[in-house]
Amino acid sequence: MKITKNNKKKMMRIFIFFISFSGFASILIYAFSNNMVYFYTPTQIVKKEAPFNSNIRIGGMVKKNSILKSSDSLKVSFVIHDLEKEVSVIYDGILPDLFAEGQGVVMTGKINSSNIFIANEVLAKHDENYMPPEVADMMKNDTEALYKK
Amino acid sequence: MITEIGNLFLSISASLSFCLFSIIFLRNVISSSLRYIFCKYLSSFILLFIFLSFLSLVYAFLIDDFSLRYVAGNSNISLENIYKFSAVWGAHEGSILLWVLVLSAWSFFISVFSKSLPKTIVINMLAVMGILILFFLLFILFTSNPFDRVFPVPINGRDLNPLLQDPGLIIHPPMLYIGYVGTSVPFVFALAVLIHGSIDVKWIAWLRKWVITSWVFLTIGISLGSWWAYHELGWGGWWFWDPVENASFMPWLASTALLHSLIVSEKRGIFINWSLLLAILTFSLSLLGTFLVRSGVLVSVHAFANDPERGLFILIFLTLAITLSLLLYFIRSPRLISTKNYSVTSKEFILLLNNLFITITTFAILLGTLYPLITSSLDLGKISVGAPYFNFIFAALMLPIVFLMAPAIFSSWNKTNLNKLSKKLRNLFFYSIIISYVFINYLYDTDLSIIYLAIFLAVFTILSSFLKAYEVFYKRQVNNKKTRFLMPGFMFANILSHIGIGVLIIGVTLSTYFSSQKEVVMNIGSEILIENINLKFISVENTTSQNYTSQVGVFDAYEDNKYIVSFLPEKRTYNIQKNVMTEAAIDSNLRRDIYVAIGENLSADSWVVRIYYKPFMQLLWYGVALMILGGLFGIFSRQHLASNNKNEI
Repeated sequence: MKITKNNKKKMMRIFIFFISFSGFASILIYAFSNNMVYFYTPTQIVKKEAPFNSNIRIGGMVKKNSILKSSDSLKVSFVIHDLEKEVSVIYDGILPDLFAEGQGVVMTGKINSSNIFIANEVLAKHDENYMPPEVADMMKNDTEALYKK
Repeated sequence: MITEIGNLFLSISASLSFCLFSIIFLRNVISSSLRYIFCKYLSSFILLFIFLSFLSLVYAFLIDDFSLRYVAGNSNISLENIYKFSAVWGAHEGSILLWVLVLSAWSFFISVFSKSLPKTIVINMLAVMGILILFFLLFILFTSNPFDRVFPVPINGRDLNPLLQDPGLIIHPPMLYIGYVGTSVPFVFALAVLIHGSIDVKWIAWLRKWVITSWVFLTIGISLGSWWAYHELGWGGWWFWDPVENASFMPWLASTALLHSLIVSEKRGIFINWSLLLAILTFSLSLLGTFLVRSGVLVSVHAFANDPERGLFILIFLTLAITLSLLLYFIRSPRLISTKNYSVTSKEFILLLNNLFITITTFAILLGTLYPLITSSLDLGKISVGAPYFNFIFAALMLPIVFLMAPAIFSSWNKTNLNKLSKKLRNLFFYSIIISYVFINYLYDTDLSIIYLAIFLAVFTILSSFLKAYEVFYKRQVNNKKTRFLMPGFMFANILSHIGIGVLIIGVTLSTYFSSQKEVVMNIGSEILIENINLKFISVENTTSQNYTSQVGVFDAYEDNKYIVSFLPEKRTYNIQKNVMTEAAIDSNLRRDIYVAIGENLSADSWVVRIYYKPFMQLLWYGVALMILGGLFGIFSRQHLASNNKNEI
């Protein structure tokens, strides 16, 4: 009698453990899969490797003389490149203090059907020692590529 | 000269800390009282010498000795003296020196305030401290020496990063480090107990004070950082789930869990193994945070120049420390197991749930922080895990804990009288629903259920804490007229910090969901309306300061056509590094914060302006202040939990 009672208790514990474990795990997986954002380079975007209409991050350098600003709103468009391919960007908002031509930027946003990137967040190089890691990597490759040329 | 002196002091303290560590091996050679005295002297001398080397670095900064590479890289003749001082910990080398200074201070304080512990435990603790200090000293001497020279000696320095030239940043790093490094105390305690092989509940009472102390400092440090981000970064945000913020938040969560499990260990003598494991994990998270921030694997405001050698050094130490301590734990901890029965309705069980939820939250944050690093180092693609992940996880896992606070306060150890509890809670529950519903509907028009849920939980927590406070007062009044205004410090700690959590939740919820923001182009002379505030752009003036020039926007705010205040947001350009910094202007009262920042100058008199209206933003800081106050009561309360009567806590 006693043993069965203990067994029942044990079973109950294991059951509760599994229920709560799977509960926590599903919360984690749900949150994770919904909020992972992948990073793409302009080349990948021109090759259409990036998904349309879902949140992605892209990075590159702002092309010289490509910044067009509206005079009465915050709308701005510019072109970023990774020395191989270019992507046009549209953004409506305040640009970071250090945003400038020739500088590295990383943006979050979506690609629209005409392959233009609609940014909802723009991050610029923070100071001489700071650069989003993706841009730093890319720039390093690019300088190597430049030397080869 | 300073180079030699600084290096000499560092080397002396390194050899002393090696001696301190090796004392543990002399168990059979020297008597324990002699070893105890050795340990005490050694830890005071280590502190003294590290402090002297720290002072020599401070001196080098104050006299502008640019022959030191570190000084040349982070200071400048025209820098204000107070920032010359804070520049000491403004970059990697100096901040590691501060880290080890704080570590040696903690070990000194252990040696002084440990009379209630047996000598062998104190010796073990200090010996483990010795090896920790030794590692960090070697790390400084071999990979990040602030006393390295530079040749030729520059005429002027490169200046302190302008982001760091802010009053909040003078005390944020030291506070954070005191808290961060303070998690080493439960760690060395756990190891000392495991080496010793047995534990007494009285020792846990001792440990709990230390955990609260480091928790208080950690709370102050994190909230100062947050406060700084809110004022300085110009985005109106105060928490970004930046990996470096997470690095300090994870030890905070883990020590919060530890605080609660130690209460059970002290009172009932159970969960002891778990507490020790948690102590080890908390310090491991601190070390991991140091690795993340200092190795350069993360790039953020906090990370300094990359150096793989440093990262490797810390990574090796991290792996060694975690593996060895866990190994010791799994070999020795079975000796310490003590089981007592407790029912599902007991306070023990609720605190167990608290620990479960906090641990899982910590794990989820760890996963979100490390996953992008893992995928990118394994070439599986570049991924970032954004704020929505953390927000969701945090809300989903933390709101249940908040819901448990009220039952936890009123439950009893071992087994709770469910009838009594549910009667009390039913009323509280009912009143909280009404109050929160009326409160939200009076202020806002919304049907977002998360807002109702969060405010309800906050009100529920606050009300139950007040009721508990009333009960304790009332009971005392009946028992004894003299002490009726005295409440046990522990009770105060509990009630204040839980009210603090409630207030914090209200502040976060309202300021997040009901803030309005405008990013507009404004011409001088134009006006803009945000909520009930009319903001008039008066002018932009140029000013210069010692090391920067600045453009100051002047905005007058009118509420119902009555002038209330002027805003003076700045855009500073620092002379040396040519960095542009935004200084937001903020006017706060209990009901709302108005936040004005100026951006780009588009043409002669048209500027980009960013304005936020954040209702009840101040509650956030008040909540944190209450938590800190609660923690202080916890530190200074004199009584031991074990001597309390059964239902009081």
